[in-house]
Amino acid sequence: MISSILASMGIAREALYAQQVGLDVTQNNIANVNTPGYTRQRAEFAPGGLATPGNLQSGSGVQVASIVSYRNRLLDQRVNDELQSQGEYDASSAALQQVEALFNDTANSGLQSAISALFNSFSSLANAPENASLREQVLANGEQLGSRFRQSYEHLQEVQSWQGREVAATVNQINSIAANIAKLNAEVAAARGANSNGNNLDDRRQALVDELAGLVDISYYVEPESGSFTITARQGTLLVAGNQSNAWQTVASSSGPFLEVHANGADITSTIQSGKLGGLLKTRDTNFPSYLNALDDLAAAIISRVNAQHASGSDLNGAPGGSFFVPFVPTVPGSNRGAARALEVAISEPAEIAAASPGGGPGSNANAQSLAGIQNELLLSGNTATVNQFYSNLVFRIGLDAKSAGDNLETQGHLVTELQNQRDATSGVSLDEEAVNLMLYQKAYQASARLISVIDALCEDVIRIIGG
Amino acid sequence: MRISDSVGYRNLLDNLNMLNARFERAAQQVSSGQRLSHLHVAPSDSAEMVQLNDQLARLDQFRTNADSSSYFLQVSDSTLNSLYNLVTSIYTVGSEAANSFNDANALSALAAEIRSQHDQILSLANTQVEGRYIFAGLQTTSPAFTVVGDTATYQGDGAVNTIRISDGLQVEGNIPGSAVFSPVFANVEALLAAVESGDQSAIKSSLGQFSSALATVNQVRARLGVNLGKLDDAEAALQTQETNVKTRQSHIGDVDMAAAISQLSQIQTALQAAQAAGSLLKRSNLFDYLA
Repeated sequence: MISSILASMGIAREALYAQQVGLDVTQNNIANVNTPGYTRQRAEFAPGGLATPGNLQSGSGVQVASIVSYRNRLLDQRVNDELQSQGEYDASSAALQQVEALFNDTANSGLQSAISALFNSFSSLANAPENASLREQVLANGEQLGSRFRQSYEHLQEVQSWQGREVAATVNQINSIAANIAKLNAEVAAARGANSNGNNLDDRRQALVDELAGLVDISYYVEPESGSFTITARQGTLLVAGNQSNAWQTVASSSGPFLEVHANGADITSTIQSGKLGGLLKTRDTNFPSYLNALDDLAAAIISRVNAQHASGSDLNGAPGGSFFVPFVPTVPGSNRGAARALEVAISEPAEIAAASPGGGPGSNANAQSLAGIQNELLLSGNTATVNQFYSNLVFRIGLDAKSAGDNLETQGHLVTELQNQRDATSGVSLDEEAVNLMLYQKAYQASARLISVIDALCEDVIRIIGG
Repeated sequence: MRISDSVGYRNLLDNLNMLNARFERAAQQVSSGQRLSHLHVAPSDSAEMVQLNDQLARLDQFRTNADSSSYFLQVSDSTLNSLYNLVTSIYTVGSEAANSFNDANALSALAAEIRSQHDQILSLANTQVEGRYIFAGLQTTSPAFTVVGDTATYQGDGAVNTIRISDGLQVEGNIPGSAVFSPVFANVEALLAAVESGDQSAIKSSLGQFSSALATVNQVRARLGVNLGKLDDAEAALQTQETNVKTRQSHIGDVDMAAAISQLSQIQTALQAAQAAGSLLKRSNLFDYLA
């Protein structure tokens, strides 16, 4: 009889312990209510084994079977996927917003007004070709056009190389996160081996994987045995496996001015599509080069057409017209690269402007008229666009790129929020729920303690009876 | 559905961020009055604005051209008016010389008068505007006529500049002196020679030529008048086109204030509501009621 009373004491003790664990878990949940990436936990109780007091069998109390984490791996994956696009749009939208300000010519201080001004000054010269101040005006407007071209081009390049520097910083960040994930992989595996709770480690690791997704497009899967995350870049390059991470390098390009991203000695730059790094690379390698090429094409067309027309006229002294702009010599055959920065007026004497038709006398304006008329010619886009149409099309493209990056970013933000809310519906901490749990465990704890004092009184009664 | 505490805060933050961004955009539009503050607001409108600015600059240039031509042509016209009056008065002097009662002294005085008027014609023919000899054809940097003895010789050419005053419309920018002054000089010089020699029949026959010289001056003035009329019409048309372009620019570039202000106040209401909701957000939970 006494042995089974003492056995009851054991049940009460286990119960106290179990409620204590329940309180601990609740306390941990409350403490982490605002911790990003934290997944709420719960102590799983299970009835104890059978006890056999006399001929009758009853349960032997409660056991803490495990502490489980309310994690939904599928939603984790979906959040992770969407974070990649969010990182991409964020990076490209930031870069494009810097560029669009330069091409928003509301104050008439940009390239468009400089182009108009040059051609219109040829038209003014046609009113009085022998007029020295009108000639000076043409030269000044030609120089102005050159400086506006250089200014636009160099500003674009500045933002582009800022993007380039960000690439190096982002790759460093990716490497450091990957290394941390590998370390946590090892710790999670060790915790599992020791049969202890690796939930908090898992949360930290998931938060890092989410952070990594904001930087680069990855996919990952969880090894069922060890619980390790294996992470690859979208196109297959291994980033983390078990406790090993594979650091990427940034390497100076042999063909261009910018850094390449290398993994295992191979250039993987063009395969990176999303995340911040994808956004940086896309703007650096696709958007900006296309804007810069457009400026080069525009400048090259103006230089060659104006020069050809200028050469077919004659100047104030009756001499044949030379080159108005310094002729552009391509450094890369078939490419206009460098033309925008090379646009410069070649003549210094106002009298050398060839306003006249050949042999037309100092008052002849025929060539000035033709020079002014170049702005109506379809010089660009395969002879389908005037200089101004081509430029306004560039403005349109830049605006559209900035708009779609911005719109995508906004939509993506809502999507990520929505998915995070869904994830938190399962994984997030609810203080109301924790308050209820707290009461539950407290009451059970109090009852178990009460049970011990009852058993204690029983024991004393039995001892007194026997001893009496 | 189970609601965790983070959801409410995350939604609140998301909404506040979105509304704040919209509020900023709307407030900027209202305060600046500019709709196209950034290219991304309306890329195609921004691109159209580039073209409209270019068009406006061109229209402005056409007006400059028209003003400039108008000035040159008006000076030409008033010079030819003076020429006409001068030729008329030379005709009067010549008619006096045709009177057979004149003695040698009288004829010589009349010849001197004609010679001085010949000089006045020369000065009209060599009229300069802003440094250019307007009757020298396109040889505008040298005098149109030079005189050796009593004979004026044209130094310019017969070329005419065209001035563009709108797309597809142009005017002649100058009158070559050879067309209008040369016949006049020829007549006046013939008259002068006849008066000096006292040859009455030669005086009469040279006076007979004057009407055709005067008719030429009138014809040229009529042509100038046509060109000046074209310029007036073009200026009016350019003004209309400019107004159209500016209307279009204002249509796409200016903020519709009534709509923008009402939108701003809508966003403000939504923002205040979201902030109020935020202040109420989970103000209490079960812990508040636990002893």
